[in-house]
Amino acid sequence: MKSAEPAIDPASLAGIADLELVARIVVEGLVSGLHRSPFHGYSAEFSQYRHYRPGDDLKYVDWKLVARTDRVYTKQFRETTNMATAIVLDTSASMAFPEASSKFRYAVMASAALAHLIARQGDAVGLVARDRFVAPRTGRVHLRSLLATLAALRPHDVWEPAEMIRRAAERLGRRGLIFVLSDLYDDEERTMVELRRAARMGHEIVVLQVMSRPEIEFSYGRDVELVDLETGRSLSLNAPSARREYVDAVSAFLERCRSRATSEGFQYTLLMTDTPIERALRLVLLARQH
Amino acid sequence: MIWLNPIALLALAAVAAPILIHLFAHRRAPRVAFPTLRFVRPARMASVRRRALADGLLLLVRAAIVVLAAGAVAGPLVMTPARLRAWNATTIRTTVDGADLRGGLVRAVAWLDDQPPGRREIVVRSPFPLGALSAVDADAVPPNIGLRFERTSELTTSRTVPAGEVLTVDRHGVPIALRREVVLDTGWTSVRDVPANAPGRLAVEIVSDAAARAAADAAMQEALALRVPVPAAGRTARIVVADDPATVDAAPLRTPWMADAEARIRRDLPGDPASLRVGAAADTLLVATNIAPTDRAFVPLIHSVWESLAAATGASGEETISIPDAQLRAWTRDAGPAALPRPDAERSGTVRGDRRWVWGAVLILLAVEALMRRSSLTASSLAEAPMQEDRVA
Repeated sequence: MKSAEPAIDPASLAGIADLELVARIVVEGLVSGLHRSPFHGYSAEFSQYRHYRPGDDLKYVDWKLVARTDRVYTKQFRETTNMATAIVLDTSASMAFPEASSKFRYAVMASAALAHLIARQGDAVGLVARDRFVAPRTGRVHLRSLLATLAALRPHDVWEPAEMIRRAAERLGRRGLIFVLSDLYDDEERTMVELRRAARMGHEIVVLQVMSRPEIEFSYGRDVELVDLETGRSLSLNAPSARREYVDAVSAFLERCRSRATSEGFQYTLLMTDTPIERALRLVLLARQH
Repeated sequence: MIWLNPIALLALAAVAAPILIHLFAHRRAPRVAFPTLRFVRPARMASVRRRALADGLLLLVRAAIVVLAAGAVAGPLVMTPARLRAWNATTIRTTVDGADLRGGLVRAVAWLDDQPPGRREIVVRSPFPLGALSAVDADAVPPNIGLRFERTSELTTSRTVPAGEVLTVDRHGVPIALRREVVLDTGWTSVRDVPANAPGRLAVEIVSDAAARAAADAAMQEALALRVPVPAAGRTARIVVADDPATVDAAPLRTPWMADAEARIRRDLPGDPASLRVGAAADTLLVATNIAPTDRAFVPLIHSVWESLAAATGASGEETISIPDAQLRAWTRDAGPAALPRPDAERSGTVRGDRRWVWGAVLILLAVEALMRRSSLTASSLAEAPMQEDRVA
């Protein structure tokens, strides 16, 4: 598959204040590279014909019309809303790293793009972030409300991932899709328990673990005084001598998150904040198509 | 503790060097906000604390090296009780005798000042003729120096002392020399002039106009008749009679005896200072005056000029009355405690300071510093080693 548009640098996107515009830019770059909707409805009603384009699924070609007119048309359907999606966003202080282009901003932009994409396809999308809950609904007005809520969020303190996931799972009601965007630093065990519970309720779980390059590579020179964003605790250490053990510990953590998520049947993707969002989301969505 | 070379303490300012180096080399670690500290091993944090502690100790050791080195150069001398006891057990004594007791005391004080630490005492040995010493001389000796007086002999009760020669004129007006003798006795003093059988030398000449020539000669005869001391060798004078002494050509005074002579003449003739002008003409004392030879004051002027040419005579050593024992006892005092050595005592070799111990401490600290630096380097290289492997991989 070829990439249709050059990917936009996340740092450049982060500079755009209008989240709706960001979402649209990302989604436009994203859908041009996808062959079909990653979200399958149970039924679809006919909407219109359009000229066949290479790459269109042949099962939607109206062969009778081909026979009559010698022209190849593809049938287009409007999918009926039959799937609700909840985006669970980590708003803990640890997401405010790095200062310049934070994981939180990246997660917000990715959430906005996902919401835009889902809403564009007529599905209901909702948001769970700390004390803000946006019930899954469809429509442009609802999308704007959700994006406004997203834009107003700020990372601080700690969060209760298990509580957020439980709330999302219960509010979705019927079988739905839950996106979890988090660095998964908080309460790893209870998060997994709650995700498993949500999966048993019939929800599909997509875990998007958001990480930044500095916290994985730990490439500080000489001595640094690290201040924990969530607890405020500070520690001085010699970065070069601590790097090896730190990198090993983080790699083990990421591998543990990945293996536990996949073993539970969740879709797991590691999002690095220096990866263009549409490219990262394309990988997520392509994984859902297969 | 005292310092034998205190100026070297200025080198203490050099202690700022290791402190500045430490501050520049160990700037505060930058604060970095970080998502979580759960992956940082506590052992690493402990090593950082240890390293900070080691760096602090290293700074302390380096500062101590500089301070001790500066102290060693400054030459410390610790006043231990044993050292003070040893000094106080030693008495450095010098003896003053001879005729010039006053000068001897001054020289003795100077000599004692250069001696090693110890109690100091001056023993004055003399018959102590009256005037040989005074309370001022005794008080001039530093109070920590003891004074003891030993009378060596009793003065003779009567003696005849030669007091130089005097010049006069015989009844024909010819200058003749007389030998003067002073007879000293405990009760009285008399002066006697004995013919010396030698011609007198006129060392003073009078320059005047022809009209006053006779009067001038008569005044000279009159002055010599009063008897004048024989001038010291090489001393001559010329009295120039002029209406305005300021117009007489005279060079400034250059020799001490001429300055003494002017003071003597002006003391003897306390009249109008402008009536006299004293200067030099080669090796001759030149006295210009507007006092006429016929004036009554002209004879005293001639006499004063003669007197000013005489060499100073001192006869205090010939005194027949001695300083009373009670007075000598009043001046006597014991030696005080040993004085602290002077700052330059080490240079003169009288005191050996304690700097060798301080240099020893400096050497030990240098070794400690080298060990600490080496262990610090080893720890750093061990910490860096895995990184190097990573780069190779």
